[in-house]
Amino acid sequence: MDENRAFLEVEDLTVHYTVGKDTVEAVNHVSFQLQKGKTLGLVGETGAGKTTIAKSIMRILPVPPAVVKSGKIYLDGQETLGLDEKEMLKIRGNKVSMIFQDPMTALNPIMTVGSQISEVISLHKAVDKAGAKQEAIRMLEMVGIPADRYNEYPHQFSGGMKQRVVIAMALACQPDLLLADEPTTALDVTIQAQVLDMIADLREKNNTSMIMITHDLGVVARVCDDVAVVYAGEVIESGSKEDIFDHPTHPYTIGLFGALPKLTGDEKRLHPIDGLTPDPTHLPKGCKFHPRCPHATEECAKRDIPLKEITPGHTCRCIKAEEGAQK
Amino acid sequence: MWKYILKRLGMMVFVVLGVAIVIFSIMYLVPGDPAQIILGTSATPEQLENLRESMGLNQPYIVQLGMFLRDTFIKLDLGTSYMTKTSIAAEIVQRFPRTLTLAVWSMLVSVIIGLPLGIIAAIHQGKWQDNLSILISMLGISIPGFWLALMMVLLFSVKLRWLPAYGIGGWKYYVMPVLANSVGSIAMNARQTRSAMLDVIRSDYITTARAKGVSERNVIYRHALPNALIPIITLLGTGFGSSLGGTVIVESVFVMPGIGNYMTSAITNLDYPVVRGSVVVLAIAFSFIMLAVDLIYAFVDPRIKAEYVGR
Repeated sequence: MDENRAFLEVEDLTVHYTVGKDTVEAVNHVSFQLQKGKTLGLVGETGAGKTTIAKSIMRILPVPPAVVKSGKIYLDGQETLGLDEKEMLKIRGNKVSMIFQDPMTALNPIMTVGSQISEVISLHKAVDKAGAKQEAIRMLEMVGIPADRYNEYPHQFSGGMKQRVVIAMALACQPDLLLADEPTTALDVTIQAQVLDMIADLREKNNTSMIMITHDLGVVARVCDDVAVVYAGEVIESGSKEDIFDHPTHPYTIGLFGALPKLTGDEKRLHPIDGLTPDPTHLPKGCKFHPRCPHATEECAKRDIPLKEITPGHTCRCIKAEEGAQK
Repeated sequence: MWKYILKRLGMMVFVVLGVAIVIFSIMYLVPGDPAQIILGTSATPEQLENLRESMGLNQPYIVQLGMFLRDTFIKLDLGTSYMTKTSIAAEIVQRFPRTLTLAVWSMLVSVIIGLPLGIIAAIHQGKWQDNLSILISMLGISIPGFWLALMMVLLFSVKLRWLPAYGIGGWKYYVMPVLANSVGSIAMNARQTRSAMLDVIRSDYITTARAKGVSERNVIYRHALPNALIPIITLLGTGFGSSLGGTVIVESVFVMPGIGNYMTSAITNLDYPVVRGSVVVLAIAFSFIMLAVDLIYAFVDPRIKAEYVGR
């Protein structure tokens, strides 16, 4: 094990999907780090590749069509992309677990919620059936579901309750890393805050690191320490939450904040970013954002733009930022 | 649950009654004169008229129908055959177990072969196992049962002399009929299982199961298969129906004295009571199977069970 590495390091991760003759370039040369106990927000539009990144860390990408083209993922100093499946089974649900976007479909409809939670406990802990059940009941109660609902089926629960079950399942083995894939997107706004608070409480007990995948900047502001903005499968800007919120640098990040309606003032219209996310089978050359960028120059379309550090810890993939850094 | 079963049994009465009326009407409308067939071409018009009168064939449609329904459902008497003058009920009691054996084994074989074929195809989607399974299914659907029956007789009975070509006796007499009768449903089951499995494998809760660290084997057998079985069970019900129907052909080819064979010869002889009686018995058997399938449904799927309990 390498002591110098951060708790989680993703290096140069590239994942493509092959659909017929087309290749979907879902994730391209993504690198980031996450310290123990911290939360990284992966922010971006639908289809930007955020979920693919999370699934790569879990190694639950559907292969085929997904192919990991390159990259290394170090978890606690251990490279996981090269691990054999048997070793990976011990990590999934145990050291790393995941909360999925849609609680309505994330639970097996014909298994009781209790048995779905106790399953993950029996898989990873040295307990007998009764012990696993006891622990599952404890988890249920921890997420605010009474123990007598252990033997009920998912269809007997509301969406918010199901998401709590999913959370209980994900945290049942006290993982070191939690991947939360838009955990509140499918929920009512009133439930969202509850769920986020619950995740925060449960994480605190075990100093769990988290990757929060979201397109909701409000969620980022609430829970994240660091932020990486993902666009068309690339990290285009990353830094601490303060860096990104106070000094957004990439035109796309600026656009994201610009698209938020201001509560103060007399706003009549929203300000969307013009254009659409590029077709991932035919990504534009050079900067992926240049067709939509208000500041694009000819240079932007010619070459790949590297990530440049503008201030310590705050990086940005933009030709303007590059110039700024050089000056 | 019991309330639901009672309700279903009540509905079954109407289904069987409907089947009885339809089959009576069809036989009534079929051209031909049973009296003529019984007496032969040499009979005089008076003889024919007398026989028709005594058989009640001169009565109007509605009276005949009423008599048939009264005899069948109130007196519980299926009557006697025009041709053999023997009790139809006794004949069916003797023949039905053979047909049922044939149908049940056909269904079992189609499940035992069809399901694994579909599962293997789904797990190895796009690979050679999948293609092989598709090929087998295509062949199974394309090959008519009676043709396969004849070919098997040529190979196993005439050439190799392993199996008896016709008749009834021990288990050996059932091997070829069961295979001939199940080849179509094997293919259907394989296709259905494959697509049901693929649907389930792509669903979110399977990803959840993988994310929990469940081994691939258990993902398939504990999470995916039980969910995929739900649509497959429906198919089994109708599949049983078709294998019950298929016995008509297969029993003719293998000269098995079952209900199917009984019916086919009765149809050519315009032996109305035999045809009606057999169809009614088959309809009752089929209704019970469908009820059983629906109850199995509830057993497998808690969502449906909840609905039943609510009723």
